[in-house]
Amino acid sequence: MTAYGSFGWAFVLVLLGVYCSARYTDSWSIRLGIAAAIVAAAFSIQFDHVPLIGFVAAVQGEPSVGMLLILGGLAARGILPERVTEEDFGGLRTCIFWLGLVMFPSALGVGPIDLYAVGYHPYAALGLLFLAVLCVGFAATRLLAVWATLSLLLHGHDAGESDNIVDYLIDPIVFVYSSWHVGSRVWRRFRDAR
Amino acid sequence: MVRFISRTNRRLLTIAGIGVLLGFALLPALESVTSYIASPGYRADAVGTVSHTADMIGDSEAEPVWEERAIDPGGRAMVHSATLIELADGGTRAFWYGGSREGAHDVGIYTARLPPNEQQWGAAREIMNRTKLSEELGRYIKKLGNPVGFRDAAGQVWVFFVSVSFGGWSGSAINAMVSRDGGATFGRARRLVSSPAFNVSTLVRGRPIQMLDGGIALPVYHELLGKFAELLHLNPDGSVRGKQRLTRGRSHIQPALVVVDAETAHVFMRYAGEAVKRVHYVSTNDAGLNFSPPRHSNLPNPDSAIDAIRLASSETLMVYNHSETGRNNLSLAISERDPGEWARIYDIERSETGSGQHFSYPSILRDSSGRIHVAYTYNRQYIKHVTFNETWLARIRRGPATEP
Repeated sequence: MTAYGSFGWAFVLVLLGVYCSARYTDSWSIRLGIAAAIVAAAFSIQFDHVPLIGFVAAVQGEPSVGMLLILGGLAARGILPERVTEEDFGGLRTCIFWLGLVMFPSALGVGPIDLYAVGYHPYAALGLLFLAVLCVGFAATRLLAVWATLSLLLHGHDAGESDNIVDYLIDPIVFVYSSWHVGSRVWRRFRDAR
Repeated sequence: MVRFISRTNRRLLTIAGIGVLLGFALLPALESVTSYIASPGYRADAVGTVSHTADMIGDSEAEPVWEERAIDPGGRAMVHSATLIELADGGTRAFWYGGSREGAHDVGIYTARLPPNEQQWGAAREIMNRTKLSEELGRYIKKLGNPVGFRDAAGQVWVFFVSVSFGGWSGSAINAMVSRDGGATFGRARRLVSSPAFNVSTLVRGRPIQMLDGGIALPVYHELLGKFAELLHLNPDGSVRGKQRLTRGRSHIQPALVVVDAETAHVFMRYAGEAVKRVHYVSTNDAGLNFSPPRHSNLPNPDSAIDAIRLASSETLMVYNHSETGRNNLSLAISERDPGEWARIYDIERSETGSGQHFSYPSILRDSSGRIHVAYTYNRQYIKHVTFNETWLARIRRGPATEP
């Protein structure tokens, strides 16, 4: 696992620890203590010569920027609800949903072309750069701009183990999360329309 | 402090901050654009693919040579999936996997060396096991599988091999490790990411090919929802720079790439379907920019691995199981020009159907002296290695032709 992967998983665990412990305590020192204990346990307790986080990494690999932003945003919204709005999340989740919807099936052999292969091409990075610039132009989508820019930055500097920019943008877990949210929204609209 | 900055200025600051990040990110992106070459062409003189010089054609050795050896299984009950490379000193190195049974926790990747001008293989040595790989990759590894050896133009020895963290072989990922001392020692393994869906279901079996720009074309295959062949394009440092799908559907796995010249290559594939149990192939005439749709040859294939090389005579030699139903024989076939038309010329192994014998997963190599090496799994008990030269091949071919 690369330094990005280790740091990413530690970040994910801290966010989960802080987010989940918020139900039981308002004390930030306790919440951060719980999060630190979770990180320490995940990286130090070994089973079969592998730290516990290695079992997560065995399935997921390294966390995507999409996952880090979603979790980071959820935690931030608990602290500064006026700064992170539902519109920010909605745009990001919708983008992740559509990207995953075309990317995962095509990579697994559904359809005539492999869209994931495009992600190795440097023009894909340039296209994303263009998207990021467009997003910057519209302040309402600043979370999308951060998502695209951070992915581009990490990919360009070989931070993770993948050489494909798609792996920095999305992963299956955050795709499932986004699909659930997008699906729920569509269902609510459908129900209200009836 | 934030309250003292107006909304407009905050927006400008946000844009400026992201702009700085974009600028920082732009530099490597631009660099990769300028260095990216979609298809630099194949190195037709790559080690192990064709002869290096024309004077090696045919009778570099006047006497026919045929030699058989067994490679020490290293005390393992099951060995499988051997691959051969030629070393810089003219020796030969084999890689395979072995353990108590296929898919067991104790399966490791093994290697042995046949020194130049010697008759006996050296002792088998384990170079990777799942515990070591788990430690090097920082994640749980359940089992190891097919290894593929390769010596690049810089003399480094690569081993690409399959690992599984969860599930069966369809949950495989590819790993790579490099040796700078001819396979005596290896650096840390790295994982090649080739799928967005948990990076599962990409396997390796066929020999890589050196590209003209120093890159590597690694034949791989996918077997989860579909079974199809792909090429992974690697940079000289082993990072992935592209992936190319060769077939679609659920029928083609274990591609073997044979280079004809810098622009032309054929990829022969194991047929895993039900319709036409033949060796299938695709071809390119533009160094891999485009491949033809899959076609079937006249050679049978019982859903088993094949391998092929280009001979000095510009013919192609294939080693394969000559059957639609079993692996109880192993044969050589030659194609003069058309990759779909082959003539079976010799049976390296032959036994009766239902005898319980099976000979599989052949690997073929033509070394720089012109000798041809074939290694294959012998009843999963040991790896058998046969060597012959083109004089022997010519003598065999003067005999009565055997129709497929």
